[in-house]
Amino acid sequence: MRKTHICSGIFLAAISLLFLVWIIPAQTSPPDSALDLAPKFIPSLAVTACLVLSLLLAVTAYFKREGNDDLHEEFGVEATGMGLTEFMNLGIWIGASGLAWLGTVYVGFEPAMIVFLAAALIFSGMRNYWLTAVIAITTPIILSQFAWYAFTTEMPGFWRT
Amino acid sequence: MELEMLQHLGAGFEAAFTLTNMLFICGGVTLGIIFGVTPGMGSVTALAILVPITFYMSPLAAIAFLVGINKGGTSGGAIPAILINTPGTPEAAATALDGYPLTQQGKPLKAMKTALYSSVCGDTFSDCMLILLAAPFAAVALTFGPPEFTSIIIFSFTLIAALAGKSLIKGIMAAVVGVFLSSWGLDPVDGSARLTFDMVELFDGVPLTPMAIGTLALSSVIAQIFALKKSGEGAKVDTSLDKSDSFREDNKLPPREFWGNWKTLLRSACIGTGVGMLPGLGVSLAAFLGYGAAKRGSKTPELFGTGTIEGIQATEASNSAVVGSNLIPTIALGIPGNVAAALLIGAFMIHGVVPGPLMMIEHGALVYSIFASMLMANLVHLVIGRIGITIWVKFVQIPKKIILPVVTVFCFLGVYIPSNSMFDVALLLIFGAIGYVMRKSGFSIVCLVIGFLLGPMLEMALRQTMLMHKTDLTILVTRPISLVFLLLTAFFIWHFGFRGRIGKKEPAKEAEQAGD
Repeated sequence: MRKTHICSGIFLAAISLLFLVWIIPAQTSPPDSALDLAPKFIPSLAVTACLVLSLLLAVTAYFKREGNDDLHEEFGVEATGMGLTEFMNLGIWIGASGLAWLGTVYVGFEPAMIVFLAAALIFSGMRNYWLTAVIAITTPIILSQFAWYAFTTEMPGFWRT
Repeated sequence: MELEMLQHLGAGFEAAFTLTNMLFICGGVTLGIIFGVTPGMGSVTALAILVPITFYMSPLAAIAFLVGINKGGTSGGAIPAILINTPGTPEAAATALDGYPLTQQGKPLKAMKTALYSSVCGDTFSDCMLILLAAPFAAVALTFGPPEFTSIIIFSFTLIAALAGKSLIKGIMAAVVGVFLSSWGLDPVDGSARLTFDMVELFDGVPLTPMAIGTLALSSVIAQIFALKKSGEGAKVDTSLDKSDSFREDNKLPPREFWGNWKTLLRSACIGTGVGMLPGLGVSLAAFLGYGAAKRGSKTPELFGTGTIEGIQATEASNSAVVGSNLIPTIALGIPGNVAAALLIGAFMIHGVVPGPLMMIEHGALVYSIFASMLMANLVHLVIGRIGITIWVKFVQIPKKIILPVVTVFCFLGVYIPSNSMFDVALLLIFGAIGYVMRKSGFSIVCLVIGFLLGPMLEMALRQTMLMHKTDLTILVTRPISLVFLLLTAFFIWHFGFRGRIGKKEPAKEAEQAGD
């Protein structure tokens, strides 16, 4: 966790600096009059606070000895720190969710979700392939019909206009 | 004053007692219990996923539905805690201390009935407190100006950050990032584009729905799927209930036995109500405090942990009492007591109702109808919870490996239905990833969401303060109420940041002490 604190502190400080010196000035306009507060006031204030706190986090973590007293955070034992496994999991999620999103946009909700759900079920440990197929096929179709009949919302699909 | 309140409440009952509203309350309570019972879910996940669905309801039906979910979800978590020693929600962990031993003694139904009745008692007490206190609190809050609100919001951030996680720095950082994200979109004063990156979808700011569902619900599902992949589902649980006569006899709960511990119920309800009124103090803390206090006040403390119904009564009455009282700061100040209240604020906003001191004036009739709905929901909770007690048991058996992937698709649908936008779905997936990283690195998601919700309020209050007093921020320390909250903020930073978390005990440690 100490490493995670140091790395996240440095990473967040760098991001904050990037926002503070480049993105916020480029993405906000000057105030209408001299009496007005600049629109960038609150974003800059928040990012400055974030910069200071992230540096504080990195520094305090650097000078703190490794211990298991800070393992139990808001999420209990879930907060294990970011290691190789967690980065790999994150990569898997980004890849899978990105493909699901693209599939939904360019093919349609039902086909994309059938594939996504089947993959997720198998990944989670489902080994009953008949049940996997039934759940993966019926869930998106039922939900799509529910969205249409209950909320007149048409889910994306190339066959729909 | 009291007579006026009763008149308003009567009118509230008149407005709330409709078939549609009752059906939404029933639906909310049932869904809440199902989500509470189902492994890996819980009332927060249920609320996050189902808030968008309420777009299509009237404000009263929507809030009544969501309050029903919250009530059902909080008590539903007790069922797996009692049956298989695996709490459905974190706050039900204390219930397992006495609930599971009762199951081992062949009295699971008795334990579940005790949990349900205690939960309804705690809830009703807390709702009554809400009805009595919301209006006076709001009247006091009406005297506050922008400097006071600025200080109160800053104080709330510190309190929530200090109590939500273990690191004050990380808690405040998460809240600050939430405020930053809430500042994207059009400037509230001059309407110029701010951090929109020339994307029309961002002109209204970062939408709440994908942000809340992504960080609260989806990230939890992602983390659980990866944990499942690593460790497996575990052994199949058997929750079948015996149908013999002796089993039925053992599982009876005579009124005398239940009401014999009325002092415990009342004490725990008071503890839960008090905890719920303060922003940031969790439901789990209320449950363990209630358990500890009941044990200290009991004539038979040695029976705690061995399967006494007094232990279940203490935890369930206190954790359910948080549900109503956390709406006191929400309605009076617009500051959520916990993440469930934060999601309710989101639902209020969806329907054009801005929580805060003016809410009682501008939407008084709606507020009292909501109060009436909450009281009705308790009755519905009692009836549905009791009738379905043998049905809820079945949900405990659904394997996580089926539930979790299906919920991912529900999250997707929950965001797409109200917005019809794949941009929002992309945001959901991004926030899911951010939430996963926050969970793993111990940054508080609760603080992020509350920072995001209170960000616009903070910005408005701070900007008004600065404009009214020509950017002279000394006004924050010259107004007495503002000064008090700033001093409290400084105290909390000193207490939790520098002295260490003296006052904070891990629920597990608290349980250990309570169980000693």
